[in-house]
Amino acid sequence: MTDEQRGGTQRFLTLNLDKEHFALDIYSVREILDMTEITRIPQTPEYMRGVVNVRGSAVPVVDLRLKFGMPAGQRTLNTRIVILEIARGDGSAAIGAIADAVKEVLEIETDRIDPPPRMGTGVKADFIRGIARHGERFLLILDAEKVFTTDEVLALEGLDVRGGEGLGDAGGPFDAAPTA
Amino acid sequence: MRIDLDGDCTVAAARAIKDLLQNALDQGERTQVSLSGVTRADLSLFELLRAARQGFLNRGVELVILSDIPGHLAPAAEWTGISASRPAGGRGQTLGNAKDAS
Amino acid sequence: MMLENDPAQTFLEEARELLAKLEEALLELESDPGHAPSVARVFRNLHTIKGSGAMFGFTEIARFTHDLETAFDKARSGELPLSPELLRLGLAAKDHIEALLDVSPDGGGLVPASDAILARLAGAPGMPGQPAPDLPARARARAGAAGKEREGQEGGPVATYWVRYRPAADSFTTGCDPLSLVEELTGLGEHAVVYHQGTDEPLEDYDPETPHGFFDVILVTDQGEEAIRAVFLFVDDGDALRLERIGEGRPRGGDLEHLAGIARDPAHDVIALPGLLRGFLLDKLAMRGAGKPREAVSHTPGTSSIRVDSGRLDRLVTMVGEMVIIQSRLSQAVNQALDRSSLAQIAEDLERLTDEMRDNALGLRMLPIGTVYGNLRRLVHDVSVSLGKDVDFVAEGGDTEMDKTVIDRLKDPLVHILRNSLDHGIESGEDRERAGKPRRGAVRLWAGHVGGEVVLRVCDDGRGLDPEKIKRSAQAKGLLAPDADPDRREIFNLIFEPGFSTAEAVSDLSGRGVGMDVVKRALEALRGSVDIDSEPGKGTSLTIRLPLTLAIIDGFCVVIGQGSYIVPLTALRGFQERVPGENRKTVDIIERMGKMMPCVSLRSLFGICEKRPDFERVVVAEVDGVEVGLAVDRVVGRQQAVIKSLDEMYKNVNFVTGTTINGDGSISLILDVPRLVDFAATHAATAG
Repeated sequence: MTDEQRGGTQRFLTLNLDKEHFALDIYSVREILDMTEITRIPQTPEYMRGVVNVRGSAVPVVDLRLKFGMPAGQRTLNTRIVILEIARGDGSAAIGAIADAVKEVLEIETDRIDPPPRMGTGVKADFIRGIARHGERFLLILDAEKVFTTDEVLALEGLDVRGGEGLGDAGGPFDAAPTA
Repeated sequence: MRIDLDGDCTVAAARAIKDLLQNALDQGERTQVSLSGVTRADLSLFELLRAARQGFLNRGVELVILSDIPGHLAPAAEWTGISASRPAGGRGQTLGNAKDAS
Repeated sequence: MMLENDPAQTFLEEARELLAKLEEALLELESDPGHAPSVARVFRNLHTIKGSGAMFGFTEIARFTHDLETAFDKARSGELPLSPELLRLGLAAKDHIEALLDVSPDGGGLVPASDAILARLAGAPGMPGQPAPDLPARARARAGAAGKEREGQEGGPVATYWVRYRPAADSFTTGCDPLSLVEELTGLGEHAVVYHQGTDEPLEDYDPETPHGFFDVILVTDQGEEAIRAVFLFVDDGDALRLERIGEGRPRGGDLEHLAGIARDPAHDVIALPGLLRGFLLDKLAMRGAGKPREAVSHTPGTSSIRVDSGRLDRLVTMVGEMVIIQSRLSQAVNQALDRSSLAQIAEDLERLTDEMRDNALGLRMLPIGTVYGNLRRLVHDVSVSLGKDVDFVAEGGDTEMDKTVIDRLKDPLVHILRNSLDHGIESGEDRERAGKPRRGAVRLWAGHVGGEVVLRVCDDGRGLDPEKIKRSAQAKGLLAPDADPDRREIFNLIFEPGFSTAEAVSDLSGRGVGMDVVKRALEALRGSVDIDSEPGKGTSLTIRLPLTLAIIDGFCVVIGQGSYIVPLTALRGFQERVPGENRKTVDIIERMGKMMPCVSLRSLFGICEKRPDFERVVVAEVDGVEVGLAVDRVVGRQQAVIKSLDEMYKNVNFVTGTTINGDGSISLILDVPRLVDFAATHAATAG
């Protein structure tokens, strides 16, 4: 943090999604896993791919391509799950993100990071913390907290089916059921 | 000179005792204090004696607290360092050293 | 290795416990005002709250509790009558102290509230508006108090304490000679006293009427901290006393002098001193090779912590030791490429140990249910007062151990049930007399282990439930078909239906529409059940059954496509088969033992597209007394699953209780069958 104040450098993990290059603050990255079997949780948006076993914990995995509205990707040898540590409430939670490939760890000078452009990135501006040029290409620096916020997940889902008058409703499908 | 304290030497008497000691100090004489007649005392007495001893020491005068401390005051005298140790004689040593140092 | 606890955190936890005890004692006094041991307990708890509050810098708590303590001390000595008003103030004060725990240590905005209570206290009969020091009486009371404490504490474990006593400025004038207190203190056991001189003022300026120095006393005693604090009962305004347990057991001769030497060194400040003393004793202990285990419990500040029985911890440590041995055997086996049978032996040993460790580790989460009895007692008291009913509340089986989470989540349902009993069950005094019952009603709470489950029972001797009335009411509300002929049990269980309320007049406390259905849901979420029985005119009894632990679930593993799921055993009634038709709906009707039963295709509900098998298996589950089929691809078999909670991202998927990690590293989803059926019903309703 002091580096930042002094206008020093920050370290990022870079990854690819479709044709875009993204970067994640290295401090939020806990580990990088090879693609593995993901257990799908029913009735969740497609981009929430399910949970994976990370040393005995069921860690949710988000498909960043789908989350960002890109076309679904093929699983390749390069596909990785980046496990991130996201601050949540008083503690933190581990969340996995699927990337086409993980490239490298880069140091970027803080003053070379520009605020995110309003448009043209193809990704919701809220998710982008900044943009930086690295060699020939642009890196979109992701705001992990925003990308994986649960509020947004819950708002998106609209899955709250229990609000209705389903159960006990006179016309419900189970009312015909005779008691044993 | 010699000061014999007796009777109730609790806080009620503290001012009077202080005046006695202060007087003695003003005389600039080697002074002996005997607690043998003290029937009651509280912490104020022991703290006052300590302060007095320091005051005498600062002037290079000897204040001796005699070893005839009654039994019921012995533990308190020991804790507060008024008697350096239970057996008589310890105090003189302490003061002697103190005097040398001054 | 010793981990430092956050002392403030420890204080907060202890204070909450003390407050619970305080409340319990106050309520006991309410039902039996002459009960002397309860008065003493109230006093002691207040005293300890005050003392440790002051020690950890909670100045407002110390200040506030001080006067309260004085009042109860007077009550203890009989100087002050133990009036209902005083008890009420005591309860109000308890709530207030609890509130103070959550604000800044200086009391923040709650100070005026403190003053208001203190003002009421000062106005209580027999309380002087100002603390009037009646010196000899106080001194006598102190000696007496200390003596009593000591009798009660005799024969505890011997420990070494460091006591720092800094006499308050008014010590001499209030007649509490510091020396006599130190003397009293040294009477508790072997000791070394160090006096620190306070000032270097020249004699001329020296004020002989206030204390200047302070004492460090190293004390070896079996009387416990309470006895030490009792000595300073009347002088400790919060700053006077610091007390630390610096070692267990009796130090060897000479150690005391060493400790005194450490205490005497002016370079050692009050913060560092206890650690230095402790360190000295620990080093001595280590040198002497006395293999006593050191304290190993640690709390992480900010997280919820739990008190653990040290026996359990010792066993766990032993087992970890064993595990290290097995680990080394395994490494050796790998290096030496041992034969299968040796490896099998190691695997077997490891399995046994793992099982033991799992059981023990789960045991660490267990707490006695009695930890919430205090709250419940208070609730019953408050509710019955507000209803103007006279009720005797008996809570038994408080030592029954349950998972901490279960206890936490059981509180609300229990509160609801008790409220119901008091509000609807127990009649008014007049009605009771007319019915030939004692005027005072009785509510009894019992907890215990029955056949691998925890059973809780709430009984009252109230008016009971009228089956005819319930039946009519249910029919009127459309909860029961007009021509239905349910049996007694079925009728009683109707009160758990959503929207059912028997109360004719909606009272202030319960019966606001949220009724027993909420209780039932909450208990089902804990994988428990609730049953009710009643005899009109005699009373009602409610029986709650809960699993011993939430951490493990017993169920059947089923497979749909690639995914595997756990159906908890509690819901399971049987299995059958069905031929999946081409155009099966998500919810269909199939035949079960000659009757029609709804059947949910989990494949279709979960949107699983993989190839359908030729025969589907149907898991028959019971939900709210109705059998429902769940069609799956295949049933693998029974499985004990360790529950891993699902990330809060999946909060909306309420029909999945959690996940479990299988032996091969894959993950199964644990299904919440009642919620799943709810979901299916809604799904089918909206789809069709």
